[in-house]
Amino acid sequence: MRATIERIDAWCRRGDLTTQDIAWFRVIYSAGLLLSLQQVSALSGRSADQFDPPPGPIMLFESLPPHAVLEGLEIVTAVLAGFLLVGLHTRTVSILLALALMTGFGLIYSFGKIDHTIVVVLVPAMMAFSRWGDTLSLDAGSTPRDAERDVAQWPMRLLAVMVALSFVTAGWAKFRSGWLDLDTHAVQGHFARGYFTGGRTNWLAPELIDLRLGRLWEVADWLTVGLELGLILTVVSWRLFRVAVAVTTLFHLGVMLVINIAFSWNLLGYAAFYRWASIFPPAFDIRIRRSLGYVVATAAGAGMYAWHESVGPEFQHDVRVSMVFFGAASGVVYLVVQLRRALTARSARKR
Amino acid sequence: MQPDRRVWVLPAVLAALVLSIPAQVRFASQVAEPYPGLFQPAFREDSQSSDQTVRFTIVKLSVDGRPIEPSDLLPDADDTGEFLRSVFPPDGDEAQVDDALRRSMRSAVARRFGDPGELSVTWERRRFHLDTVTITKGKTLATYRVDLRGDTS
Repeated sequence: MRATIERIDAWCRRGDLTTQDIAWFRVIYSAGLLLSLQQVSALSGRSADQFDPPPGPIMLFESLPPHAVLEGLEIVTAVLAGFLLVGLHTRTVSILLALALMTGFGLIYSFGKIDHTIVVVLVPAMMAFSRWGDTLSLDAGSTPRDAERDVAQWPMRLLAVMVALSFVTAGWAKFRSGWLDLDTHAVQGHFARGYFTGGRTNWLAPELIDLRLGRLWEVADWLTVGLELGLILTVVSWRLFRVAVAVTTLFHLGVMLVINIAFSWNLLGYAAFYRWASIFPPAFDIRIRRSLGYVVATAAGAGMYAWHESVGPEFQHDVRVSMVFFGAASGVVYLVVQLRRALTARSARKR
Repeated sequence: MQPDRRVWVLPAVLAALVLSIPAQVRFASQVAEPYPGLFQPAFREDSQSSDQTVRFTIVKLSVDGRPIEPSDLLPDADDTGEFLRSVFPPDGDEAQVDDALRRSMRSAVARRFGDPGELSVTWERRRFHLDTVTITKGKTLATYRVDLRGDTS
């Protein structure tokens, strides 16, 4: 028993991500968040009668907070993302950002529909316990960090497990509701309903709606369930999991092109698992006066909030679409590199 | 003592995470999906019956007999479909049109088509056949007539 527990503990702590990798991820994540801020204040136009929080902490709200509070939450979220971008009070800010995002999304989901953006909330909640503010940050510039100390890998491992488990719940629900039944075409059904009633008529949708592709739609059902239930099996190995996540980015691209749902929040979270330092320049410490750092971080957050207010929701839509394309392109590059490495290693073994 | 305790923590957290999944799934199916929770889109409602059809409702809008689009009527609404459902329920319940909404719809239509009289909102059932990729018309679910200068019937 003890040996098993020690093995599981060692597995949780195993990994090859460096402070530079996760610091670059911190920058990618916070920049992505600033480019696609949640629009909580738009809720104040909704009827108060429709406010019905899902089971959970949002039930503490007896009614929808006033418009000023919602706007305040948007600004606080943006400023926290600004602080995270420059790496100021990184651990505290990460936890506060997770709470702000959870509250904002929770209020949005109190009007009937949960959009499953949990990954983007889990990222700062878990990464707060990693060392993602140890370089490329104002924290590192003002307080010397021990570069020799190993990065705690367990936050990323637990994040990977949580991402995979969230897909298990989705895959299981699909499995239970007959997605693998050869007489039904669930993907086609969802696609058709969105096409005819949801205005989801962009990208490849007009080309596919009239095509009689029964077997292909059934294959899509099976692949979707297989991917969602299979991701948890790959979590045992970082290499396998990264390959599976890269494939998942292509799945999200397919969903966007066919069903017109840009699931960009997940892609932002997936970036936590990759070794960004291998493609980005060496990370550096930001050495400016800390007081100036507060101004820069606040200006970045408040500025992006003001930008979002001026450009409207279409800008956010464009950002989310771009994220899906960028994520899928990154996934393809990763898969090609892995394939080349595998082929090279194979030919080397033969020689 | 301390190293032993630390070895237990992560496996315990991991076990709690894994064991929470059946509980979350059961809670979601019997009560409602919690938030926050470890869920991705399930789309369970989209599984079709064995007749390979997708049933859906469409809304037809017209003003004084002239067909219009939802965006002509509600140019500022984020989700016109959802808004129309809440104001003109497809099940034939009472329309929720107050004076402010009537004025707003009237001015929106007037900007594009001139001074409007009567708005007609009709919900109809449709069937999309997945095997033949054809649509067949179903029954009319509800019809609302709104005098944009007066009462709703």
